Amino acid sequence: MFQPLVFNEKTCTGCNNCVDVCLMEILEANPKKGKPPLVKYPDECAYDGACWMRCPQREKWAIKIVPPLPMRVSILRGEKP
Amino acid sequence: MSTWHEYVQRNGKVPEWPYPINYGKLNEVITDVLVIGGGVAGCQAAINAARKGVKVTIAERGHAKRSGAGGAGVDHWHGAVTNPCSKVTPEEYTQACYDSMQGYTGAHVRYIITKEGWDTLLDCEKMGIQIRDVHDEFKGADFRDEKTKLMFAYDYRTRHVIRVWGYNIKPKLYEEAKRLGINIYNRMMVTSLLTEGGKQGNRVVGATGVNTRTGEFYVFRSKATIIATGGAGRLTMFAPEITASSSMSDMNAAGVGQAIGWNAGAEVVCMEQSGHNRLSGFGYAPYSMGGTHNTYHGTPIVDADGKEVPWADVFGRELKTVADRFLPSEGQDFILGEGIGIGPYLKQYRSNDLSRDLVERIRKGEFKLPLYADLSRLPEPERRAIFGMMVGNEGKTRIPIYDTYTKAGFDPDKDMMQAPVMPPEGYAHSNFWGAGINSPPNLRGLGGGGFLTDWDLRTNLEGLYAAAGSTIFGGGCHGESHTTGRYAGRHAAEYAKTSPEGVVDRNQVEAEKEHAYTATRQDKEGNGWKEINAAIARIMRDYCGQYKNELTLNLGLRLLNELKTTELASACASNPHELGRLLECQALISVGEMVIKASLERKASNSILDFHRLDYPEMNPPEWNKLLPIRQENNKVKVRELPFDFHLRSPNAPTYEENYQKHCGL
Repeated sequence: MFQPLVFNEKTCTGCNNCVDVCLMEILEANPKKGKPPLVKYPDECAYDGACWMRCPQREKWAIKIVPPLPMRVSILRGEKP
Repeated sequence: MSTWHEYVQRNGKVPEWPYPINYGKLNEVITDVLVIGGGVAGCQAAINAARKGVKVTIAERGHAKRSGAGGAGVDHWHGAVTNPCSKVTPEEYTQACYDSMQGYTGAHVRYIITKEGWDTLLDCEKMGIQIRDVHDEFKGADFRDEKTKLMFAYDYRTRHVIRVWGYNIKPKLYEEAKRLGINIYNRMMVTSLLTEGGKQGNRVVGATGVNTRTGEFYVFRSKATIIATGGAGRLTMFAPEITASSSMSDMNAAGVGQAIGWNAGAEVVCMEQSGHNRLSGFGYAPYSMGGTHNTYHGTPIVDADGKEVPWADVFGRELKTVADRFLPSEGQDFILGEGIGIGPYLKQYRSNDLSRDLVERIRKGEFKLPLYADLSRLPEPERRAIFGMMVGNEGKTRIPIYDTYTKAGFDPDKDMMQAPVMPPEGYAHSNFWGAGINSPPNLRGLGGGGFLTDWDLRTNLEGLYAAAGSTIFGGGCHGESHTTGRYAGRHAAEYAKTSPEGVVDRNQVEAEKEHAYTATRQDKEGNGWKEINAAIARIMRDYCGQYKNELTLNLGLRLLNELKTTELASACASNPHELGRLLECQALISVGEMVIKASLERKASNSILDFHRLDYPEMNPPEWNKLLPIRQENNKVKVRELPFDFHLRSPNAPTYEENYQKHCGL
């Protein structure tokens, strides 16, 4: 139902550090070397962020954690209610 | 491209399992100390055992670099009462926990935590964790001590809870464990403890496990073993589409440690205790919505018209300033702080909070929904400490909340976080993101119960020790997990040094092996693990929910057993990952049985344990004010009665300090 992780094919180098540390083992290395890992079990994600913290390309958005839509926040940016 | 399905669509084939599968291939590991669970407690246990010069092995379900409930970080550290600024003693803190719980907590464990919590934090500092404001970012703030540069939470007068920069605490522990030469076996689903002669109640001499990448079988032979695993959040609720991103009962919490201990004959206590499962995921991602509880303590709450909700102390007196929210009031000894595994707090130790009549005033229209957390109304250092330092370091909030919100443009200097819109009763507790009203009333979460240990943190079984906040009776949260791990590690090492090699029973190993691989031999028509897990949770909710009686509990036991011997026995796993999840279901059933059996033994309702027997409706009858530890012997439940203060009764010494000095081994 959810898509907890989004990889950017342009910036992900396929180093698979995230596959190594994933707590819930939801990731699988891509059979094609250098390509982003596959999110095999998305609904088992614990949203702990281990993959993101281990990613050498995180500042280039190689990996993005997407909290489930119904759980995302309501923010009033710069407005008073 | 990032999903498995996209790969299949693009390449027209299913990717092969990426690891060589060798179901049943035997690997034997010989060690002095085996630590089951490589979270913060397990790593501390392993490190401190290794420092004693013994050979140490960790068996970890995920990968020890970031795994466990504390793997994603921590922002404040409880129980550091011996820090140089603290005005609370270990005796006072322990007594506050014990009195608040009216005896239903392991006060000896609490005392150990308070004696060594600060020292454990200093150990972490040596490993590279920032525990002080070394960059003087908060100079002059009233929560900061200028000399030590320590920063405090909840109670700025008595200063026993320390704010820390703990986002990297797990990798640092991992590095230290590797530096000490500890063998870490990641991706290990531990399936059983091995006992001498294969008999329940005998000395623990190792464990068995299955690697969830290769499917290979592991036999660990150890002189001493430490269980340092997490809770059992999946026991009563399994619905990832709802529970995703829940922090306290996430997918990782399968109760494996409790299950293998129980099956080996270890004694547990207070497993009948449960509470409304407010954090099950029917709320929101942790700290993602406005509130003023825990990390957000002290944050002003305003209504839709900008009118601020007043604060009051525990006696109902209005608190005029923000500073007052962080100070004990007249009549209070000190504020204990939130998130330490204490259910009801005595007034002397409870936190200041929003005015208690908020629910009524919302209902009358005095405060208009939605409410908002307005961080901009906080003094600037407090605002930066909360949304910045704390949210930026707390487990599971660094990325989903701090990073995501900041990148999306959220600015705590001017923006507000909306609280969920819900019926007025939902605002009775200031943790709005985890509002209990959003969870079904029959949804319970375990809490407070765990392994009964002695002053060495040893269980009733020779060679078996316990640690971790949610696994041990008397535990707590993150810091408490470190501290109990550190203490249990030392004691397990000392035991291992003087004890002979254990003898593993080959018949037990063969039986465990046969059992572990059943699901790989089934045809593909069997149930998968998710369906089984959901069914276990349904049985627990229906037959061991908030209200129960002898009949419902026995029905629950029967249904769990039927599930185990029919659907679970014929369940199918198509790879080692799924096999691991099915083995977790085995563990969950064991924990479920343990909880129901504990519930059957307490034939009285109890308010502290939030335990309601419809067939024994009288609340707190005095003759039932006692602990009822249970264990298995020849697969039959053995119960005994224990007074609350067992830890201060013979053969123990009459005071906390005497016992600690006798046992601490320092």
